[in-house]
Amino acid sequence: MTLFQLYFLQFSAIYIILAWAMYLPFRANQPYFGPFYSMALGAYFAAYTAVNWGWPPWLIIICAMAFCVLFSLVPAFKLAGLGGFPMLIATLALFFIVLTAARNLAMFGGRHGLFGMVPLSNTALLSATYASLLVVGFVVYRLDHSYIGRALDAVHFDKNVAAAMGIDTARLSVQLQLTASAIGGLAGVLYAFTFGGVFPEAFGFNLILYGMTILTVGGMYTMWGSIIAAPILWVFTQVLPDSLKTFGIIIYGALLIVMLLARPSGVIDRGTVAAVSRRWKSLFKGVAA
Amino acid sequence: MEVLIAQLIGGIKLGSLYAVVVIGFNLLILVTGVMHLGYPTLLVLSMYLTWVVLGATHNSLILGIVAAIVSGPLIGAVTAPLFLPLIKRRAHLEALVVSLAIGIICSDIMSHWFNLGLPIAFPQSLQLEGHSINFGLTVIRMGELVTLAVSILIVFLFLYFLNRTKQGRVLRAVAQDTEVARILGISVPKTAVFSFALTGLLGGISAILFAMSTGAASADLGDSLGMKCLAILFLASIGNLKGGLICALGLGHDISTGRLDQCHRFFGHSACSALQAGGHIRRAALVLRRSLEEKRL
Repeated sequence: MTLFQLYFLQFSAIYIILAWAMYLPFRANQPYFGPFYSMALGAYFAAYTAVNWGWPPWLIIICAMAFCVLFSLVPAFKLAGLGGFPMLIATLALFFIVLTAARNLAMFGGRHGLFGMVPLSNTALLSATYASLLVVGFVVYRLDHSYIGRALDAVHFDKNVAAAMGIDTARLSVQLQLTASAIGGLAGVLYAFTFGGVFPEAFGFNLILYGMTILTVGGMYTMWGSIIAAPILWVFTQVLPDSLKTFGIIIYGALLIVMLLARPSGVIDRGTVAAVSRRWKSLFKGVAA
Repeated sequence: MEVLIAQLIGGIKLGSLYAVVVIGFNLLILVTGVMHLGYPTLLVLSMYLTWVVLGATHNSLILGIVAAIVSGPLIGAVTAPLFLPLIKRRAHLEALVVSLAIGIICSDIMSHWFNLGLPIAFPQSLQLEGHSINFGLTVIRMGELVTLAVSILIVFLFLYFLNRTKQGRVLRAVAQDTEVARILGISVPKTAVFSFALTGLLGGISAILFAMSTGAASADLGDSLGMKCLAILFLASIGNLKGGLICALGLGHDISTGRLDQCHRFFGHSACSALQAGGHIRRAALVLRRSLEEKRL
């Protein structure tokens, strides 16, 4: 397997996981940027514990997710009662704090980052990543099709109406934030294992742009859009000629802006998913008949 | 005592500079409802364009200043159409994400296409080097004093414009209540475009003042500048123009006491970097705390 193929498979999966982490709160109209700093926290946690303490990957994954949940638990109760603007700014400020700390703390290698993790074999790496992808996908799918998913729909429609219907919106928000942070942390651990270490530039504001573009282009209100958007967008910037590679961020940014202006629900919205589902069912019935 | 005086002057200078930037921020929030997170980066882009013009014209100060002042409103007017449809359908969060994307794009352009991505330095003539006032061990450059005077003048001119002119009253009316302003015959989209251009003008002026004051810029300057402006915005409460001015002065003094050149002299490089990072984190924590208490938005 070439490095390009490995990276394609790895980063597609990692960005899908990240997009799913963002999808949950965004579905309830909560612009929560927690998955981004959780990803950074998870990656640094993985690099530090693997390099200094020699922890095995399975333990790192569990502890990193728990660490991200604990970190997000502190502001979660306050954030739950906020509107969109303050939540976005507060989580952006947290992202900035994590980023500045990572860039300046010597224990994390400062600006040079922290490398030297024992590399996993390609098979082990891909197995861990795709097993995580399946588990996260299953969790998000189940949440989508459960009481919580219907509650998210109600909150998305109108928070006050949802509260009047008996939904504890604050509790729901805290649950979403913690789940999103845990999934973000998992994405960070996988990212660190892919590179064999971490460096602060990987988690700069560009990461927010990547994540937001995948979510917006794929579709903010279904989990399926990210599965298509993440690999296509990753490959798109990689196959550009060298002279155009520097335009990667500009292309991502332009795509994000165009999508928000022209089709805020994304390329794949709920209507598309419903139409595909109907078509699939009719095909299945045709074959069975 | 000399150090204290220098810090006070430095604090007021930086504070009044931040005040000019924060006025732009607040104006857009009040009139259009857009929190333009890319605004500080657009300001830095104006600084870069000024640097290009200075280089192309053999450091012609007048042309450099004109470039900054013209580029600001131009950038504002160019980016305004991206926000207008979102403002129309009251998609404020989408507008915020668009502004963030604009900021990241501009930051990327600066880090790739200008000076090979390295920080830029403005000519010493722009900082009026050679003209300075000595307070014992402390030297206050003329550029700093000019920055101080001009930024205070700009703040007062803006307040005069807002309170005493017809167009200023139009802006205030839209900021107060968009629907009532529309019923009264005010063109809200035109006012929105005007506020973008005016904010751009303030950004352009701030750009040249920052260039005079700091003498250098880098592509990531917009990020830390943005966080400082957000700290001021949230400390003063969003949309509060006068509170913003007072908080800007306070923050200017706070930053001035930890200024890099003085810091290096007393504490050394590594401690200084830690002190600066601590300052960044403290301001971000302030933004975090205040936004958690923000119930109105």
